[in-house]
Amino acid sequence: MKVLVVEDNDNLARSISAALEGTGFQADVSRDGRSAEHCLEVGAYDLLVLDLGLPELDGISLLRRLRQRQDTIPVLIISARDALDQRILGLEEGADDYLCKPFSLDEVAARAKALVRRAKQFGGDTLRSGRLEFHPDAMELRLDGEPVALHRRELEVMEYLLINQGRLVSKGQIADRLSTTDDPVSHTAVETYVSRLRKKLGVDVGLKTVRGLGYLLDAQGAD
Amino acid sequence: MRSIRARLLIWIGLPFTGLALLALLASHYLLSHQINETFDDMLLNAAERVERRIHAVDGELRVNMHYFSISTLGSRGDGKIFYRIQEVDGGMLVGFAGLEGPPDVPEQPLFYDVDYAGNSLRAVALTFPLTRANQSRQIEVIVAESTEARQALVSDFMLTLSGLMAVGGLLAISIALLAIHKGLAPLNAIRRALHRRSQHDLEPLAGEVPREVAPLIQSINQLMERMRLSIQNTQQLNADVSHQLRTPVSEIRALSELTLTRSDEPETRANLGEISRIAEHAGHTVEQLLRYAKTRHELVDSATLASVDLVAICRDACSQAAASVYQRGQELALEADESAPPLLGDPIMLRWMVQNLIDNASLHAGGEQAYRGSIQVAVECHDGRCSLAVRDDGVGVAEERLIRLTERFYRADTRTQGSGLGLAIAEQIAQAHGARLTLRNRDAGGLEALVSFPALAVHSAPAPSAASTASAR
Repeated sequence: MKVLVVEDNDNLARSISAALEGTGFQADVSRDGRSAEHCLEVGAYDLLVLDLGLPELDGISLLRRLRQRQDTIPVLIISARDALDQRILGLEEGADDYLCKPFSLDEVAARAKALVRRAKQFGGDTLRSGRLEFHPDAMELRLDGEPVALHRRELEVMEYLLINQGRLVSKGQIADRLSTTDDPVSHTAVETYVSRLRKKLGVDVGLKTVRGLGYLLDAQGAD
Repeated sequence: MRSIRARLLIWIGLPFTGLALLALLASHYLLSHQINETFDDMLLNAAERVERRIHAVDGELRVNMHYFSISTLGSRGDGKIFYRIQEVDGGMLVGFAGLEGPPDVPEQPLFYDVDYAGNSLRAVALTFPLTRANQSRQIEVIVAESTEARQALVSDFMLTLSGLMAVGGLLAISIALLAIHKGLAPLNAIRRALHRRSQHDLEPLAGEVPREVAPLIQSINQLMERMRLSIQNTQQLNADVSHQLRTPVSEIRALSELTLTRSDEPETRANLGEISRIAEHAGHTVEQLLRYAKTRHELVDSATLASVDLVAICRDACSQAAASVYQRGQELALEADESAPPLLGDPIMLRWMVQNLIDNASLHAGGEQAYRGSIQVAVECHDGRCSLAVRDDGVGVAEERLIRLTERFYRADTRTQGSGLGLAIAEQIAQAHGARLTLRNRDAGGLEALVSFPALAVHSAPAPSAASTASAR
């Protein structure tokens, strides 16, 4: 996976790219908007980490141009500016996620991984969370390396939860993901799938029900 | 200092009372004078009529004083009459010999005051030639009457006059009070307008004011504007400082975290871990300071508030907080009244508020222990008034410390990390929305943070989605 880190601060650029490389990315660094634009045209990147305050061409303009070209590369914005000023602007211009300075490198890595995971959510790489492992091509879920026999719907729910691990997922989001025009899925059905999943897995894999909100899959929260 | 009303009353009341007294004195003088003259005329008239009562009988003069009276004004017959009739240089004819006469024999009728037998009298003395039985003599007549009648008449008049004046005075005072009230009405309106506004409202006073108070209002408005600018400057400085600190703090944090993953030396690792922890704390504090600066009620422009969906905001805030809450071994639940009407508010600030309240519960509910229970976020609506509650099942807070929790940099538990600003920011955001933040210990244990929104803030406009209200900013 290739990531372009656009950051004019040397220390941050170095740290972010190192942290991303630590989680399996191959990172390139651009110091300003113009060279970043050039890099994006040449290289095929899976993710763009973009600082908003850049020399030459500022982050927002870069993002705007990118989206005008119909480039759907996932973008994680990093900014020293505050949510009140910038968050909405960045997200409106087509950023996928947003981090405010100061941030932790773990957070950058986690968000980066989640963005790529979500961008590639239709097939592709193996998804992992704690003792779980999901192979999208084979539609197979393994617990401690052993395949678990699951219904197609349950697998789809699990896949979606794994793609969005560490994030709260509402029943509505799962239902939307599972529904087709011929076969709508209700919230109650989602509840049923999740409870069956739990029963079939038999162990705590960190899947939490958040009352009134939805579900959260986080292996760190497993007992 | 005396009130304007009192000043006006004194300055209207005292001179008018003085004038009224002066008028009464003048009336008394004129009345007494007039009444005296009239009575004196009648006294003289009576005295002159004595001549006809003198007869000569056998060469001797006799006076018939039967039915002698003085026709008086308003005579009640209680006036006493004394008289003395005698020949000049001659003997006493009739009357009271002790009645004192004038020092000289008067050519003209002479009026004078005299006391006789304990009576205060007004007397007239006159002399006239009398020819009876071919004898011509000078007769002196003194007639005196008690002054009671004239005094009674004056008193009567003065009493009536005083009564009239008193009634008139009371009427005048009432009119003056009404006039003062009407005149001061604009001032009262301004006072009420100032009283009604919140202590943090520094918007200029608007509306028509009388010409006389316009400069005062202008000064008040200028003062408020200066205060607002000064607060704004301070907050801008605060925001600038926080902003400028963000990048260096980020660098320290990122570099220490990076080096930590690359180092095997235990002491270096321990130190880097500390540096990273401190940088994180500093970063958090900078962030909270910035939020504190930005949510000052003086700076929140009510014109930028939009119709927002509190439930959607809570859902967003919960979603963001969920991962870290569950990582701490806690649970999160949202109980939302879906029928909650939209509020007039700032979506980002409201989300900060909910986040801070959840963070507060998550970090401090356990007291000295790490909290392992659940955190409940609830949106409740009764009679058009919405409230937001964040409850935990933790150890609660000592009652005497509850009140201090929203103070800047006050921390009930100094062992746990925190900027000391979270609840202060939450309270500030609540205030900016006209809401109240109350913290109380729950009966079942744990703390409840309750934000009660005013009924007024409920907006009648159709509820737009959270995204569209956010983009409206």
